Amino acid sequence: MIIFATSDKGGTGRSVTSCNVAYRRALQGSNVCYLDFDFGSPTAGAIFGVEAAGQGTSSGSGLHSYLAGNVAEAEQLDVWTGSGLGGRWSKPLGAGRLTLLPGDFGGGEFPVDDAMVDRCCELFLSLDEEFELTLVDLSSGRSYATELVLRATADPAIAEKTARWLVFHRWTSQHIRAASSLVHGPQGILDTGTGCGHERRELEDGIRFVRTAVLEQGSAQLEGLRPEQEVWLQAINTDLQKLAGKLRLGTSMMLGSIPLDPVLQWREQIIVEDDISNTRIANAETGKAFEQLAERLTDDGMWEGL
Amino acid sequence: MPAPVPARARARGTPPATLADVDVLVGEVRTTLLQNSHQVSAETAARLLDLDPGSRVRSATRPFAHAVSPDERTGVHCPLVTSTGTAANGVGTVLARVSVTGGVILQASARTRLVRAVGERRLPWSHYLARPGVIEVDGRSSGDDLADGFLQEPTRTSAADPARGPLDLGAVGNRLLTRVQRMPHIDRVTLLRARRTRLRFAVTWQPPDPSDPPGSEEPAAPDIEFVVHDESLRTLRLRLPPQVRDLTDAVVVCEDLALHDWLLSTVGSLVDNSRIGVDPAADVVARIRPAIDHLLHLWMPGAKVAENLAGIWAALERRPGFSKQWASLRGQIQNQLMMAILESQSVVSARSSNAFNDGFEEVSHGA
Repeated sequence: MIIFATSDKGGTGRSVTSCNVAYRRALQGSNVCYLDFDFGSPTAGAIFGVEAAGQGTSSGSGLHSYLAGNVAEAEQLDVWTGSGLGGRWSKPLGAGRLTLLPGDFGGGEFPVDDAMVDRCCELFLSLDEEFELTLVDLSSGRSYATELVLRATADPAIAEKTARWLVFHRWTSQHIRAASSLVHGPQGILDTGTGCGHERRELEDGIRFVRTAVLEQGSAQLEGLRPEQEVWLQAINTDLQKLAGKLRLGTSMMLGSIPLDPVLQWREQIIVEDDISNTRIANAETGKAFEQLAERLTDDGMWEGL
Repeated sequence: MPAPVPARARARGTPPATLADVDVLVGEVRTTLLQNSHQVSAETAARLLDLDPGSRVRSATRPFAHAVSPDERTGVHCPLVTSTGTAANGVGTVLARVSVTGGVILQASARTRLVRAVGERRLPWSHYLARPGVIEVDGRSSGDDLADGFLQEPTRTSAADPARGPLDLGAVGNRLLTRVQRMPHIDRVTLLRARRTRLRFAVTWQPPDPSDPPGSEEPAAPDIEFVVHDESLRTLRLRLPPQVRDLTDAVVVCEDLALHDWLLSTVGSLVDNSRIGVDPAADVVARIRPAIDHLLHLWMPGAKVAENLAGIWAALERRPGFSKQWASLRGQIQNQLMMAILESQSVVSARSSNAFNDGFEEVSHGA
């Protein structure tokens, strides 16, 4: 299965959430590979703590070079062994592979041509031989990367594979509008996809939304609020829910909601068990949200057509 | 962590100081699982491998189903890696073919013979095309230098000059694999997730031993260095006795070794990740099942190998001992199957005794 992670705007926590989801999924026993298609700013290496590819790889064989046809094979890094996060990162018993295909250091966006689409197809197919889950982190907004994968997944050989989309957005009215427009708006995912030969309905059934940095009602973080603030927050939340419902990203279209966690506000990182139970810098709810999202990626009940 | 496994250490003759002949067979085999929900029939395999309408796919059914595509030629003009760092350039052609074994294992192998170029200048392509599977090498490198250089992990090409990367036979094979995996005759449903492995090989020939009587029937033993570098890369360095000259036979040995090494690696990692001893045996068996259904019966090391190269498999069976490791894996799988049966029986008996107790309690409550 191929999962595409995209977002309306930058700064939604798309990459850090996707990395954490990939990590959780590997812990659950799946072989997972993570493709950094955010060509403008490849950061997955830094989030995973893989020193060799902090801001993208310098080997000259990252995804950017591969897609451009400069190298025959894209570099693959094993996160379990390559991560500089220390001894606690040895591969746990029964965990699957966790492999990073980094972007290139100093890469950038580029127009898509047919040869590139073909190489992208070959990459997805060969990764599918080895990995249950291929997670592709796209650049935010309407990008060449999005166009590339929409064209690649329209190829008959890839179309047989299940492809699903996660659209990340923050819980504000601007973000909700932008996320809806990214999917349903002009030159959005559905428009572009239909132009590439996708069935609009089928593509739409494979799209779900993920809310990030959400302040949950009744969470400990809201305890210190004045009553006026609490009332105001509640009113805003109700408005946002109405707006989201109207713009077709209501609760039925939501795959998960990641609570606001101070750790992720200050440092984009993988939240491991140790951060929750020993050093206690991260909240248990955040870990749970990642884990739940990881499970739901392949839970067909969550992906039934509406 | 390279762990060299010299099957037999043997002193080599010192190479002469003047430019000696170069004759090195180099190649790379890529092995993976054919992406289909079940094993393909011989007809489908033949259709998958029909890359060139002008030639025929060769098929065999004994001792297992095996089909090989015709050779495909690729022209190359590129630098060659040498272990000493001496500059060397090669012009010529590479032969590549792809095969399906047992209806499930897909292999591509690309190989070429490195020989010394006669002149300094590059000749017209027709010259090279007339000698398929031969690359003519300029420079002063010796055969051993080229062979050892080829086996090194290639340094990544610089992005600045991507067109001048060194000879990459793996990429040639990979293209064939990808081409087959995209064919319409298969459904691309994956039986199990397995790595693509790479076996890079270099073969040279021992200098004829003057002490051997001419026409001696007993060939000298080959020198073998088989190294497992990481989860996907293996290298094989062969020094064959001068009597054994058949290149095709040598390639078949390497393909056969790559196939069995892939079986070991794939089934081994499946067993490693099946949480034996932690989860109930039934869950473990469910994870291992694809190997039981599709792979275990394909173990036949050396079955396709020519008589005069059988010594290679014999040496590898002594050390590192392929079949010993395989037997141990099989044993482990069989034990888990037995455990699953035992556990299911104990669950059934526990359930029936519970049912009896429950019934008894109900009766006593009622009373």
